[in-house]
Amino acid sequence: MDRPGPNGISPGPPLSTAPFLYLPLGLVVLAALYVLSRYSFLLFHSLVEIFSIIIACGIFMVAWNARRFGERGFFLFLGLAYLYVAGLDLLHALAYKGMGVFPDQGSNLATQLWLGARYLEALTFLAAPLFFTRRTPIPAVVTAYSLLCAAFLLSVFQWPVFPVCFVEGQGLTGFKVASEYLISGLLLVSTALLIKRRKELAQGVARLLVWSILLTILSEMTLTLYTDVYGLANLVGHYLKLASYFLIYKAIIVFSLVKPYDLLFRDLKLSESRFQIFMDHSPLAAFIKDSQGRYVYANRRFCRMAGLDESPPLERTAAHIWPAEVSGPMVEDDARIISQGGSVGTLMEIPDGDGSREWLIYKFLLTDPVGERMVGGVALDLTERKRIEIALRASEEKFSKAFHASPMWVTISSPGRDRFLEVNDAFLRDLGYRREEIVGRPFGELAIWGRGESSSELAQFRTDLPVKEKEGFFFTRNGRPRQVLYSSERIMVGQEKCLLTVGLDITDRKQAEEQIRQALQEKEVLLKEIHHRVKNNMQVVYSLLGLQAARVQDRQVLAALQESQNRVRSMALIHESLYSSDSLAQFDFQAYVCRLADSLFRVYAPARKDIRFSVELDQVRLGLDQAVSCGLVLNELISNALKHAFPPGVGGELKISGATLNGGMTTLTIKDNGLGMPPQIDPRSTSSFGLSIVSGIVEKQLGGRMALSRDQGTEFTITLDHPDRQKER
Amino acid sequence: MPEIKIMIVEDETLVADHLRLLLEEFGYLVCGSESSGPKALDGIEAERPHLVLMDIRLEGEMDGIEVARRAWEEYGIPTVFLTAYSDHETLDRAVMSNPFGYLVKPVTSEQLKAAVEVALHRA
Repeated sequence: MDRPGPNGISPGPPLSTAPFLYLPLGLVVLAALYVLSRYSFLLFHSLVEIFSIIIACGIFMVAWNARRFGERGFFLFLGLAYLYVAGLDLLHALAYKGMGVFPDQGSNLATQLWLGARYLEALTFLAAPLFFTRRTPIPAVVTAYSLLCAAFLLSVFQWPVFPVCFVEGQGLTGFKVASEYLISGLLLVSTALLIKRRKELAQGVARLLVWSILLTILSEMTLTLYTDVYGLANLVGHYLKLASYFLIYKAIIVFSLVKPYDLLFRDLKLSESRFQIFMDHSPLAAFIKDSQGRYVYANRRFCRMAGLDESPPLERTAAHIWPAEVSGPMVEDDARIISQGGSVGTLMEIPDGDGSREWLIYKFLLTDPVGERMVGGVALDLTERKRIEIALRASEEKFSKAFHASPMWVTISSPGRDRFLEVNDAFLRDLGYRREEIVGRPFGELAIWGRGESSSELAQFRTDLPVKEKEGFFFTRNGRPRQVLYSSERIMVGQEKCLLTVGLDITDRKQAEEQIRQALQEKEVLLKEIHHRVKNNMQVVYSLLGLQAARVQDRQVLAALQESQNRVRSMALIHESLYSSDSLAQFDFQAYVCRLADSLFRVYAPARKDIRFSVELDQVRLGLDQAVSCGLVLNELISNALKHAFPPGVGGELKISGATLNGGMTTLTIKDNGLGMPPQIDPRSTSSFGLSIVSGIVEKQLGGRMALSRDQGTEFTITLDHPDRQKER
Repeated sequence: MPEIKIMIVEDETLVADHLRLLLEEFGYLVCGSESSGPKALDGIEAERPHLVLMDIRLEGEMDGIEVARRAWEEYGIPTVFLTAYSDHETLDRAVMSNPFGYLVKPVTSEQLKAAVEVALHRA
């Protein structure tokens, strides 16, 4: 916390310069005291003791007066204890040989008192760490030290049972020496405890206390050596005691006065720092104004709110920061709070850069410790929240508009509460209900389900399971069923699991589909009738030709009539194949050719086992027109081959093959390996009726090409374009 | 061998005449040619033919399938159907009546001969 606090307290100058000042001063004092001791040891002793007594009293006074600032009782305990140590030291100084205060006593009394004071000091240091983290129980400590001192003094002066410490002419007793060692041991233990817990003291204080204790130990060791109370050992021992007390002086008094921030006010500073950190990290702007409207405190968020970076606007008023239209209402509020008390909460637009932000400012009356009335306030930036609220409202509005304007059914239902929470206008319009007749009423009371509890739609709405494109029936107010295609999705409305359902009334569409289906069926019946008529008529024609043939004697005429019968039959077979086919536009050409050939074999070569016949036409795709024409062409070419290519005794093979390529071009090949067509016959100019039918149909009607090969029999190759291109011709 | 009598039930006169011509060429006796269901049943009862050559579509309400059923059930006379229909529905109906043959128009003399011979053999 290097930054100066708002109360203006600074940590003070560093103490590292002190040794340069104190060391020569100390040496001068020591030298002066030495000179004094040469003049009068008693004077030297008295001064040293008085000095230590003053320090001990000082420790008490500082600790006592600072006791309310800290939670910890370490210094208060030391202060109280040193008051008693000072008392014993005073008695020791007064009892010193030559002082004449206790005329009947020799040097033993002063030594006993010295020892008592040191015991008390050692016990104090031993117990002091107990009070690092707890309050000092003042009555208990006072009682304990009073009893200890009283017991000690009574054992010295009244009873007297305290062991002899000094014998004139002999020097120190064994008890005295052993006690000094014991005291030193106790002090060493105290030192260890102090070092261990040094972090609980301000920096430097622990170090000075440790040095002070160590010097005391050294002093004790020195004072085990003297035989003459005015001797050198006593002199050095008192020097060391003086130094030890000086360090305690440094630790307690100097640190308490020069560095109160680190010592007595250490906790206060920590508390204030925590407060400062808390306020500066708060998302709330906070401020305090005096009765004149001047800011006396402002946190960082407030500084940013006021556009002041991080410098508090101390001593300034709202009018210095904001324009009158903003600061005016603030000042009015402040005045009202100062005069009437209470609190005020206002929403305000505060300028921010080029725009403004909306703040909720809450102000209230404060009275500071000296009784001055002040205005405290906190402010919350609502801009972002408001923006979100506006966006949310806009989103809700959009959803609401879409919900209600949708031509499809949209509902929100709660399976848990067994009712619709909202339905849109399309739903109500199609089913003929008012909103209040549907929304909020238990599902079981609604008549829209038709079959009531057994309705699968009711079951669907009672689960929270999503469903995709389900067809179902809902019933209008008049009981008419509406067929609906609907989907449901889970949504959360607040904390409630709901179902959003979108449905499309497909009743009209279904009816239209049914009409189309019926029309199609009627058309199929009609088509079936037409086919029947056509085929029946062909049978009539076929029979007519047969009856005519029965009356004809001429063989050529008879053959012509029979060929005509075959042509009628080939056309009838096309109709039959078409009729059996699933598609009117496409049919099984290979099956048709097989039946046609079978029929012609029965007529022209009923017993010819020596003529093999094969068909490979499964890759041929022909349109209806092409198929009828090709049927007639194949009828002629197969008939020709059976009549002329294989005279009795000449067997062979008749093969029909073909394919339709991707581009739609179809090739048909009718090949036999029989006698071969005589070279003088030209299919295009022949007198043969059959061949003239073939060339006429292929080249004129179908717009195709026909090639004839007479190599090892006869081979006709017919090439047809795609039916669409054929039509373009 | 006793003469085999065949009755023709066909509402198209020309077709019936042609069938009669062909059957007579094959050596059968055509004992009647009727154009409606009731007349056909009367003829069947009177003539008791060995076989009926039956068109499915006839004049009047009763169709050939019904006449064939009754001819078989009441007189034990087999039927060969002759029809321009070749759709699955009609075929299925005809099959249900346990026919002895089924010819699709236009029928050649070879087909007719084979179908009649097979039917008579089965009966």
